[in-house]
Amino acid sequence: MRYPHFLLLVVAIVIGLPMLVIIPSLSELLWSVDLKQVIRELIQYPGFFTMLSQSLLTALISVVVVTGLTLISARYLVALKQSGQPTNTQNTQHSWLGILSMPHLAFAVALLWLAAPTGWLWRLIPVETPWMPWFDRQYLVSLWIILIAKELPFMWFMALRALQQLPLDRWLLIGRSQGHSETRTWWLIVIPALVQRLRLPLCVVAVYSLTVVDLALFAAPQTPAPLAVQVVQWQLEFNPLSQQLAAVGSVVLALLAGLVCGWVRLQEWVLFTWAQRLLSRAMTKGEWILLNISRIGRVLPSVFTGLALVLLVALITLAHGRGWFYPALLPQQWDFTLWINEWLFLANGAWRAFWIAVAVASISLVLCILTAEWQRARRQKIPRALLLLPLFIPQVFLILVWIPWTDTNLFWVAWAHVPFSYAYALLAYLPAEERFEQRYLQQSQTFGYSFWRAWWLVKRPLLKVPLLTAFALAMLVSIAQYVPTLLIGGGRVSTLTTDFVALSSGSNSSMQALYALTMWLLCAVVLVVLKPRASAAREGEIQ
Amino acid sequence: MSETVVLSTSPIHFRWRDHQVELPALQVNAGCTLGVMGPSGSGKSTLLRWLLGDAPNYVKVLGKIYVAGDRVDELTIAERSMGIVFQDILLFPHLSVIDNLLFALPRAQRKLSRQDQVEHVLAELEQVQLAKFAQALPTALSGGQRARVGLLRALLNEPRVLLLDEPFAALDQSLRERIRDWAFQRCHERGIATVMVSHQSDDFATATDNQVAVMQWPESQL
Repeated sequence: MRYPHFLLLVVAIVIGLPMLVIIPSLSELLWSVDLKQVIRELIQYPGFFTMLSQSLLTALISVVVVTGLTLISARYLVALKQSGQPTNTQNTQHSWLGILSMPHLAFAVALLWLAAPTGWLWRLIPVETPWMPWFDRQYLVSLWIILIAKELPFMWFMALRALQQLPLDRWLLIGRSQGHSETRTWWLIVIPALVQRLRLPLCVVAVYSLTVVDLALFAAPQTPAPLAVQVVQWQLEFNPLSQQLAAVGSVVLALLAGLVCGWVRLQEWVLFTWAQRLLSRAMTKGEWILLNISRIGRVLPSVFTGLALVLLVALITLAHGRGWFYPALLPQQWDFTLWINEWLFLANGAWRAFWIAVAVASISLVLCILTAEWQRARRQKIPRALLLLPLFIPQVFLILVWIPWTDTNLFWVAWAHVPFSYAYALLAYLPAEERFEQRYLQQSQTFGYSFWRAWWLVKRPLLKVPLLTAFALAMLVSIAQYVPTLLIGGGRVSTLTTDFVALSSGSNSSMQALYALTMWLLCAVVLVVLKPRASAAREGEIQ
Repeated sequence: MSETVVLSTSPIHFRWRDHQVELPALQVNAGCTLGVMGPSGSGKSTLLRWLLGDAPNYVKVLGKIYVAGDRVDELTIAERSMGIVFQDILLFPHLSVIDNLLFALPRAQRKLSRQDQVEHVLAELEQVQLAKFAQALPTALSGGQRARVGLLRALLNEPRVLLLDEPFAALDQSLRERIRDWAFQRCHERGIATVMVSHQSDDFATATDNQVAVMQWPESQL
């Protein structure tokens, strides 16, 4: 390749520049406002510390539970890998992508309708009082459950990718040859290595849980809200003090993000220390139970696939049922008039979201490829944390920084989606790309093909699955974007997601279900269209 | 044929980490082979990668490369008219044997009809008794068959220089000798200058004649 630095320049302009904008914006903020006064106002704001603790607690609980559930499911993921059938692994990944594809909001509507105290589940199971009275829109715990359930398939997906890079068979063999049981070797050797490789995705989960806005607005709209929700509300108010509070509040969120990423590192250290201590002595009964807990993990992925189907049915019934009062199991009548009445609004929002997503995913994928090829050409690795920076900085903070540099139109909305879609696409693409034998390209070039022609003819077909997965993930991320669309678009650009959140404060659950269903359908279409056919898988393809 | 210089270099200076190697100017005539002998990890493969235009960026190399009198070290891999066969052959795993070979046809032949291209490639495969494997994927071939297809693919492209990075190392000795002799013979017939690196002392022992010169890789000076 003649000019590898040109590749990095393109990535730097599209992704790096928006990150660099933070520096002048932050210094401008610090110089232009009476910082002490604004901080005092922030601290004295009614419920500030409750908001702060709610945000922090949400992030910590999500990340701890998601880590635990991912690790106890890891052996099942390996069993899939060791089944020796790449198509099997591919299909499983796609069934998780099916859950991943379900937008958070659609997932929240369906789960709340299913498991809330007056929900469908408690109508199906005849109990005097529902077992989970706290699973309601009034309690923060609903937000935690929804976040955990939604982040888990993402972490499985990442764990499977990470496990594919570890020499598991040899490690387990060495462990056995040294007198350790397979379970013991698994937990003491494989799991610490896996946790290390999951550090960045876990930080992504932690920061997302800390700063989530749309889901918090829907699932836990109690007062006071989590801090990220309050920051957006301050920003949407027009008085200068509120805007200053939003700016300083977003800086507080950024500091908290650093804290929760530190927590991810701490839990990794705890796991390492535990593993090292256990290696040198006999196990207690408690430890034996802990080590064997992965048996539970075997069923989790199947439970989640089943749950996705149940939630789909729940959404369909809720969207089309009329006169459905507690404790009736089924509605009095079915009707489709809501589709007819809302068709134009739905189609408009979905159409716009789709085309923005196509543009954003295309740009993101090209940037991913340029990043990977620059790394190959220079034989240097850009630190992964730097590439994924948009995911580690609270989204609200970034968007508030970008607002003065952008305009309220479709172009800037799409542009604001790109860093986030790019980061997720990179998470899906880079680990697979790193397994590609780059000498195939050198070999092809000796036959007279240019670098990019050789890439297209040889590398693209062998990396078809990760390329399509990255593109699909980038599209799904774009479709789900709420804060960038709302704040950069300034209310002038609406998509299905912004329309849906606007509706979520209302009490028309059929309408919410209809929008949730349409969002899910849109994402499902993306996945179905982009799903590589297992039967067409070629020899040597990287999954 | 053998009087024409195809590949030549100026004296070459390699430096990487704690190694420094000075090579004299190299010269390989048409149809001749330069064997480069040396222990594993001494930098022999780096010489090939530099000739090809893909030296690792941690290696500093000073030197000039000429192919048929034209300086090529500023050119891209695609422009150097060099072919390479790696130790692991690297047939494209998703393409059948015939598609691997069709991929390597020179530009002029890619303009022919598909029928003509296939006929040409099948005739070449026939010569190496592999025509019946034309539709097979590389995974269905034995090590020796893969080596022959890999060499054939490199030769089909009609390079002026062929670089061999221990492509026979994984084969047993008798097979290695047969395939190596076949490859050297082919290169000789077609006037291709060949550079082959190896760490096995017997690799050039039976092949040494006036077409094969052997150079010992010098020791690091640091």
